[in-house]
Amino acid sequence: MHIPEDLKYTKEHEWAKIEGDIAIVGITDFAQSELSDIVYVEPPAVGQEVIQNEPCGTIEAVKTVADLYSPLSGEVIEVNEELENEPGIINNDPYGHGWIFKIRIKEPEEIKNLLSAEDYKKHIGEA
Amino acid sequence: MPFIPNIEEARKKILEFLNIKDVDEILWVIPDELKLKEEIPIPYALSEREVEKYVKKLASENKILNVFGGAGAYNHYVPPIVRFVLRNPSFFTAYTPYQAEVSQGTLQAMYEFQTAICELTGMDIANSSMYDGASAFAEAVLMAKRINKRDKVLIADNINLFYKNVCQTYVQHTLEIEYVRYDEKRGTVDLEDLKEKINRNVSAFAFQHPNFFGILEDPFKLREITKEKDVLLISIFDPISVSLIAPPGEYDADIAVCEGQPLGLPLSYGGPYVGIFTAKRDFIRMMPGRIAGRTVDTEGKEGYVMVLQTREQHIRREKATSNICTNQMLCALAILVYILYMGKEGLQEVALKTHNNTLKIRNALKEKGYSFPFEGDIFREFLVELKENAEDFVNRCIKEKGIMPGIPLKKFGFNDKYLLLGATENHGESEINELISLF
Repeated sequence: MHIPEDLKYTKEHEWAKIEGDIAIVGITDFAQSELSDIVYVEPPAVGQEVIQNEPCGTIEAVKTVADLYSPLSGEVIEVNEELENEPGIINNDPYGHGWIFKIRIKEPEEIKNLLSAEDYKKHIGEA
Repeated sequence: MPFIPNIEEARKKILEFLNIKDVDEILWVIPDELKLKEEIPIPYALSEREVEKYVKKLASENKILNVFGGAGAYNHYVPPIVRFVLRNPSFFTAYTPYQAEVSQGTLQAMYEFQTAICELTGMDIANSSMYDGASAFAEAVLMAKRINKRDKVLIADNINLFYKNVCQTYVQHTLEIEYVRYDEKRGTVDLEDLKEKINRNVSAFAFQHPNFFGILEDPFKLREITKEKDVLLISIFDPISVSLIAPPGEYDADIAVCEGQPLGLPLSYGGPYVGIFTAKRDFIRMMPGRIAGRTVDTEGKEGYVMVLQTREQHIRREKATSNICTNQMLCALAILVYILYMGKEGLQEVALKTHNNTLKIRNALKEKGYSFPFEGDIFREFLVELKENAEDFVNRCIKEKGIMPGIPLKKFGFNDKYLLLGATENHGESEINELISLF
């Protein structure tokens, strides 16, 4: 299972890449493999205020629909529009082209609530 | 195995385990006055032959009326082929398959029904039906909120009161409802009032066309007004009218619903009826209910499946899109057979005859000096003001002539002299003349 060292993680299987006051958010390799074929993504709307650890969208796979949780609080500034027509990108490239949304971080101190790659590895029982 | 497994022996064991002598010891919480004191007087069992005779005798006491009343349910002709197909046990017994894909014929019928409804309405997508028109309407209002996440809905005050009530029950804890007035003279939506009340916090505007008074609205104008404020348009249409006037797809409705009864279901003691539910393609994931889809199996053979099930209760639990996990399959099948049998021209003929027969009655009443509360153009029914209490008039016609001349609008909250009536293609010339003679 691929778990990049430079990302932060949630127990709900989202990752966040922090670049200054911006966070790029997606779901982990483990999450995409558990869900299997993703057929639809409902991201939060641009401009929407999201709150750490609260549902802000859904990810629909062939057999189930999972909630998407925001790893941090902030304002959504961009969503990955490619996912609208090709949600399967998440399956192929969860940490790259399969990113889901970007937020402007509101509470930087919330970052310390997130898991490191090491902690996340333990969380999914891989360590 | 007994049907009720609670046999004497088992009961004894339970009582022993609970260490009580009598079940009443734990039922003490039920107030005494609610407890049954004597046996329910059910007569002794009858034989099959006796039951048949008894029920036939009861049925013979029913009075079959010639109905000119509408207000949501209409007296259209139902060709015998509808019942013939419905009674086929392959459909009749598999009407709600729990392992849906096993019943390929039922799924195919659902799929064909959806296709027929899309063609009839000009809308992109239809589900495989809802409970009835009123609940379909309430679900449409909830769906609009899911689409744009706004908390207020505007509803035209001239829609069917029963639809308002059902909607109120459904949405009272989720949405604020505001009613838009109707023009006192024409009976149609008051456009100025709509413009005043509409804004970008409104989720949807819902109207009925033709409205509850039978009068045609201007759906294109209503679309224009709602589009300006990015508000969704919900239409409650008449499924017979759309073969004659612009269907909801043509005036760009976002969600369109109706009661399907006029398309091949009889008027009988209030049901069972069926709701038709359609929407624009973009909103398919927000749609309530079941949807059947066509696909191919691993060998490339055509097959039918339930689609978009991932949003429903058995998977999404409390986060499901709706609580509708069934449809009215037999009624939907009746509609499918009716539409296929009538064909486009047949449906147009039904609509045209319905309109002309109704106009004939209205013109005759006008000549007799009756006045009509509203001036707007009508399709299949109209409101007339009688010179007496409408309920008294209706009861007299039923008792003396076996004719139900219309629906008194008192119980819908209107003047007790108001009668709503209309004819269909099912009424012959002599029947129409007889009705006119009653006024």
